[in-house]
Amino acid sequence: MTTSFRDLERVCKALGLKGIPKTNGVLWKGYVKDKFVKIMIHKHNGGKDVPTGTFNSYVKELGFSTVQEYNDYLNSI
Amino acid sequence: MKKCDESYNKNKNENITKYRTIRGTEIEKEGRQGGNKDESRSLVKGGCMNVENIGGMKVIGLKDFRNNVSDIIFKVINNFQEVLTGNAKKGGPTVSIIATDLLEDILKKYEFNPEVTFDEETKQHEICIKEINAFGSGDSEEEAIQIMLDNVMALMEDFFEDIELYMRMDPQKKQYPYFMRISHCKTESELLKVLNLV
Repeated sequence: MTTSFRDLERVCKALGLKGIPKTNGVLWKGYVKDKFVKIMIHKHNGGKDVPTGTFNSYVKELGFSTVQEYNDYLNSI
Repeated sequence: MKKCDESYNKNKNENITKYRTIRGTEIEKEGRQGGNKDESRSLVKGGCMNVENIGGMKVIGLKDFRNNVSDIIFKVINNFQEVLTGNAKKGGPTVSIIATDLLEDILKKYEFNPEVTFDEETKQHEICIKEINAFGSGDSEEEAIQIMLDNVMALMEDFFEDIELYMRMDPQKKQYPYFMRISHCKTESELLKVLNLV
């Protein structure tokens, strides 16, 4: 189970992370549940799915305990 | 050409002799102070001492540093000396000046261990560099490496832009030597080698 980089960007935005434009993409950074988070999304990855290993790391980093919790949040925004 | 070399060597030898003479006097002075080392110890924040710190390194005052900057840089580069400078009278935090070659040697200890895998679900290659929490992915391994390089550069740029923030946060502070090592890469191929991606 995974997500697209576009949906990941939507989640980052909804969580209040700030998108900082970089030469080759956008760096999302800010605090989620008092924890500092930094996620770089490359412009060439836009329409693609996030590979499973990377996705699992991002899910945890964004403060979700499970992929299901991430998906529930995504569906609610 | 040979004449130039001879002249260069002569100057270099003179400089070394001059340095040894100065250093010899300093050692002699330091030796004299050796008996009351503890008395010169100050308890200022940063663990510095007015003249000499606990490891025997002398703090050069800012005025002396300004007046002898060329000599100091020569010693740092040619004699592998690390120089501490700061407020020698009041103490407090100091600045270290070290040869870039030496610093790069020290930074070699901070190795990158990338994990390169193929994800069956998305049919993509993914790379993770845990040391700096960087990820890269692509349809081919080459694309994943290229994307990883771009992401690493963006993360490094951001790290040094916001360094005052990151140095106050423990997990990010630990990434400092790794980003420093990356920042010393001169070419993309050097960066690939440093990141262990070749």
